[in-house]
Amino acid sequence: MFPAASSDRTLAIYLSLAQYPILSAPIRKRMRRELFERGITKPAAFEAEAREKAIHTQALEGLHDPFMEEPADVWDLRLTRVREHLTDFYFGYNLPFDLFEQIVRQVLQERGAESITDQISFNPELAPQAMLFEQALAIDKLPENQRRQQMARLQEIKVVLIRTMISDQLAYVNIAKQWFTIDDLNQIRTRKIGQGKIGGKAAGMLLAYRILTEMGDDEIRNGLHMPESYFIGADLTYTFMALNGLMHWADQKYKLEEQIRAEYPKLQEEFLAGLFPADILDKFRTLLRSIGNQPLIVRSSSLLEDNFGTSFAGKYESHFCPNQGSLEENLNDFTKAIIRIYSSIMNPDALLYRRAKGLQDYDERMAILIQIVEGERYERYFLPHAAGVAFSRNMYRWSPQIRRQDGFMRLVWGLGTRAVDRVGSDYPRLVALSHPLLYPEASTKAIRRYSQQELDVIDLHENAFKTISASELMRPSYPVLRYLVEVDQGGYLTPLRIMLSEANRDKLVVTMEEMLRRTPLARRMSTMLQILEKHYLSPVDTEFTAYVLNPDTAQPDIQITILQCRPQSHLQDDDVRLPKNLREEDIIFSTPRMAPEGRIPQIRYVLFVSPECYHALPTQTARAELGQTIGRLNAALKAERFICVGPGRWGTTNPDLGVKIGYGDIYHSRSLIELTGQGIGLAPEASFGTHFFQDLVESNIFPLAIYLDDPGVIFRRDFFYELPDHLPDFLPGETHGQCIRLIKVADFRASYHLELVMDADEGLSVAFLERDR
Amino acid sequence: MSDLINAFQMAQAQFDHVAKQLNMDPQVAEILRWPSREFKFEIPVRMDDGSIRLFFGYRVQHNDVRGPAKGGIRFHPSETLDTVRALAMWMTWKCAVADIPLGGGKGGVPVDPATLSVTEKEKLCRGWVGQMWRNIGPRQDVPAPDVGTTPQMMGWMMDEYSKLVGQYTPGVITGKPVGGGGSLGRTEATGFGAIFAVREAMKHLKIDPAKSVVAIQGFGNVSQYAAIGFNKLLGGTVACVSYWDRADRAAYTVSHPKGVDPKFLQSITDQYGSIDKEQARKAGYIIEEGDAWITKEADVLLPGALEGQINAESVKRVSSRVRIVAEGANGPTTPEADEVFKRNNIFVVPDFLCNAGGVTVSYFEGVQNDMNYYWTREEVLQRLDTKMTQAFNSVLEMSEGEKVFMRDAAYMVAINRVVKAMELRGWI
Repeated sequence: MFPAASSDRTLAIYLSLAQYPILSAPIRKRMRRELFERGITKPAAFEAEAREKAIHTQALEGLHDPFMEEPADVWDLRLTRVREHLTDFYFGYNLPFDLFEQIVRQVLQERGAESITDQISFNPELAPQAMLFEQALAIDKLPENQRRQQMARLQEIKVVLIRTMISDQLAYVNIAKQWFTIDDLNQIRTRKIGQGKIGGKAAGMLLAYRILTEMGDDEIRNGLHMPESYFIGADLTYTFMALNGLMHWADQKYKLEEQIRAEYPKLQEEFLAGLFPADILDKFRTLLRSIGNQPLIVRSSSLLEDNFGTSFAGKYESHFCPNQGSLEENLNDFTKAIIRIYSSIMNPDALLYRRAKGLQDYDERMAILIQIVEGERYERYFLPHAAGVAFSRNMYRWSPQIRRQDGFMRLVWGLGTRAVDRVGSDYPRLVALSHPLLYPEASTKAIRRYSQQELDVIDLHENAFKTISASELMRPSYPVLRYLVEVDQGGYLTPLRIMLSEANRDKLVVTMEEMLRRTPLARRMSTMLQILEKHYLSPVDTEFTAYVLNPDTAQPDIQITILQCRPQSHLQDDDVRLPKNLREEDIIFSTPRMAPEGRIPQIRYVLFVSPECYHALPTQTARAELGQTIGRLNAALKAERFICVGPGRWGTTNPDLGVKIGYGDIYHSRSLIELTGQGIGLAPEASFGTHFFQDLVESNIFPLAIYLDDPGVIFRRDFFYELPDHLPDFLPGETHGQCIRLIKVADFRASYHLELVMDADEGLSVAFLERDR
Repeated sequence: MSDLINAFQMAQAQFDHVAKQLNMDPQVAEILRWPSREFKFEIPVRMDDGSIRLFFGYRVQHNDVRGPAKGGIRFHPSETLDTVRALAMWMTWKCAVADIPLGGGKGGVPVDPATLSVTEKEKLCRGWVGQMWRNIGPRQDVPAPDVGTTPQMMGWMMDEYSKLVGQYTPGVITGKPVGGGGSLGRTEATGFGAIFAVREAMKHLKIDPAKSVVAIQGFGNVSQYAAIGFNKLLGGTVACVSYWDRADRAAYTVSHPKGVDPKFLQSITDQYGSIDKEQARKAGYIIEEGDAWITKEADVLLPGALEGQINAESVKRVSSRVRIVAEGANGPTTPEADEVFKRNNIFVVPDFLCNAGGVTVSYFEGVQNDMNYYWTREEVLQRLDTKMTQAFNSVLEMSEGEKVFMRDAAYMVAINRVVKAMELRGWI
């Protein structure tokens, strides 16, 4: 007998369950279990009926070939809905309503916790995220012994969530799954707008933070700050493009280079005219409202970017949003920043980089990482005390005692953009983390010359990112000035013991010295980098900001915020490793002194200054003229790839110690190699480029030294002394009586060029012949 | 100052305040907040009755980066380590503001010297040196007379030191009697020094000294020579002086309608500083209550004797004509009164600048001892003038450059110099 008014009950069940859009699934599952246990229907019969009805609904909706016409996921959805309806129907007709209410109450109380074993039937790879979280959180809540049984399940869910929400780069997932908790992932979910992954940059930042929190000691944990971050899922790129009719640009990556370049401005223009869907705009608005007037940085976080294997450094854009206008103005700036980053996926540099790296066919999408800018307000400006980039391996050693494995840092005052980008005319403080107080420069004059002159800041009044003169903020009232600058006392630098009026501003030099001396920044940064390197299974580089805590005390502390972290992937490249089985006859020179890390490929010319001839020059004037010739040759060799080899210290001011030239005389060269040892004039210590070290670093010129007396050194005299001089090819009519020789590698062996590999792991730099390809 | 229980904490607080104005490196400030060295030692003295009485001696060397520590030895019953520390720190700033190459020190013995016979005093003095001689000396630390100690005692101490080191060393102590290694001009030094500072202040404020009037509080050593200096050196009028009448146990202000003649008043002052009222009246002087001095129509107020004379109450009675307050005494102006002066734009020559003439001539005494050649009184006063003028102007420059009041500026000049010296010597 069917009870009366049962159709009312079915409706009541349906309406009641409509209140629980998420928990309705486990409730219905429990309802079906009741139906099966009470023998009202059997699972197989129920499933068969559901399929039959589903096929019927296909017909109703105008589909005639049920298996071929409908994609699998739509069919699944159809089946699920029919199954739900059928469950309500059978329950409503056969079982009392208070039993239904009892089930609902139970499920609500448990919030699904009890039903884990029932749910094993679903496939996490296909399940909705909400369900995954629900289950994972439930497992997390289980008592320890039950929880242990579910660990594999939890791990699987975690991996799926990492893969769908953060990054599907396997190398990343492999590490990330060991570190992230469900709670971390849930945090990301609640701070994410739009579907899709959050991309490489966001992924790196979160992972680094998690690793440091787990593995760091109390000092690191307490001094670590996580930037307040929000994410925009990568799938929004396509939504945006589709909505604004921009999909026709999607094939840009397959076009010719000239076309890519020519069309980019038009592409940008069209992107900038685009709009976001209203619901997304509403979410942006809510986000901006909750953030208030804090300055933001909107950063690219593409799927390929900053991840394991590719660096993409500087290929995509980041934009500061000072966020000082009205809500709608800020929203406008904010969306424009996002759109600019979207269009930067198609910028020529990025596309050509992908082409070169074999990443062209990847479905690159752009997620966005939004961070509240770290820093503090000082008058009209907003800036951090210090910022920079730090590397777990130091590739720039200017003194033998510097330990490569202790890391390296480029440190600036103000926003880190000045440390990240190489700005040419301005310099960050270079810090060897094994010896943080050791300058590359020897003299106060040079330290001053290579000091930071300008700061990147946010101008809150003008609502703009700005570069200002450092002296503008060299005021007694700037709270941490003494940690950033020193006083040039005319030949030596002293800390800022007393800061009176602004009269002495021109004597102040930004050195960051006292920050390095007084706070644990360098030591702690080094430890953090080592931890990250160990657990990333790769050397890493990071961007960070630093904040001096209690600057008015004798022992101030430092707070470090890691803004991003990525593997220094190029260090694992074979590029910088010496090839196995190098034949001795292919080696032109080889030196074990302080090998940096890098490779200079395709060297066609070697500019050689003969030590014997140089030291035999009769006058200082003759030596000075030689320097000028090198300057002219440098300009003439602009289009060629060459290195310089000469006696003693390149760039010295004393011609007895080496060739007196300035940075302007050699900047097209890729390496400066200093010969020293018996027979080379005064045989001074090599300078390793310290006369203009920072210039060399900024323009990637490698300084090397060959101590001819070192055991194992190779120096092919026949190469350097016996080949024709090509100097007249570039500077017609000039000759320096064999003092300067421009050697063409191909003269030594036709169709060959030199490769200079500096392998820090091996502690050896070798220039060897390689056949032209 | 000796009755201030937390004198040292107050000195530290004062220092912290200035350190903040100077944006001083906290690591350096911490060094300067404390004395470099402190000595505490016992001095057993066989008394006239044959008994042995135990005294304790102190010496604090606050800072000697700019030169040997310099500062007096005090015999006072309420002496404590903290008062000695505070005064030692104060000496560091005082020598620095005067730009003399000496540091800051102070010493003392908690004793009322009036309870000791002359021989007992001598034994105590020699006992003090007997314990300290290794740590004082012309290149280490140069004591001087202070509250409760006299030039005679300095003579004993110098003698004891010379015996112990085996050579005549007058430069170990200053404030010795003239003829015994003392300097001419020492008596006038503090009063005249104050007047040189007043003269510079007037120059700055464009006041004609010859047409100006000063009201002086006190008539001890400082006030007497300040009055004479104002009258004779600047050609100004001294409206009044005040003094403590021993017989009446009351203070009086002594004025004259045409201005007082300080030399005449000096001639009718007894050895305790009391002026003969009868003779004064006969000469047309008016005797009023002790605190009447502060109300006089004057351009300059020169408190020359006691602490705290210008306070929240008495400052209300200051004439609107007053434009300069020259602090001949130590700490005559309370912070509340200071605020009133700041508000009313009254120019204050702060105490440790204004009365630095004393320590400057002490320094000259040491210089003369060292070279064993003695200057005339005129030479001494000429050099004093140069030093005081330079000191005043460097403080004025700081005050104008940093837009701070003279008192803060004086500390800032002093502390800045000390820090600079520490830096140059590589202490920091």
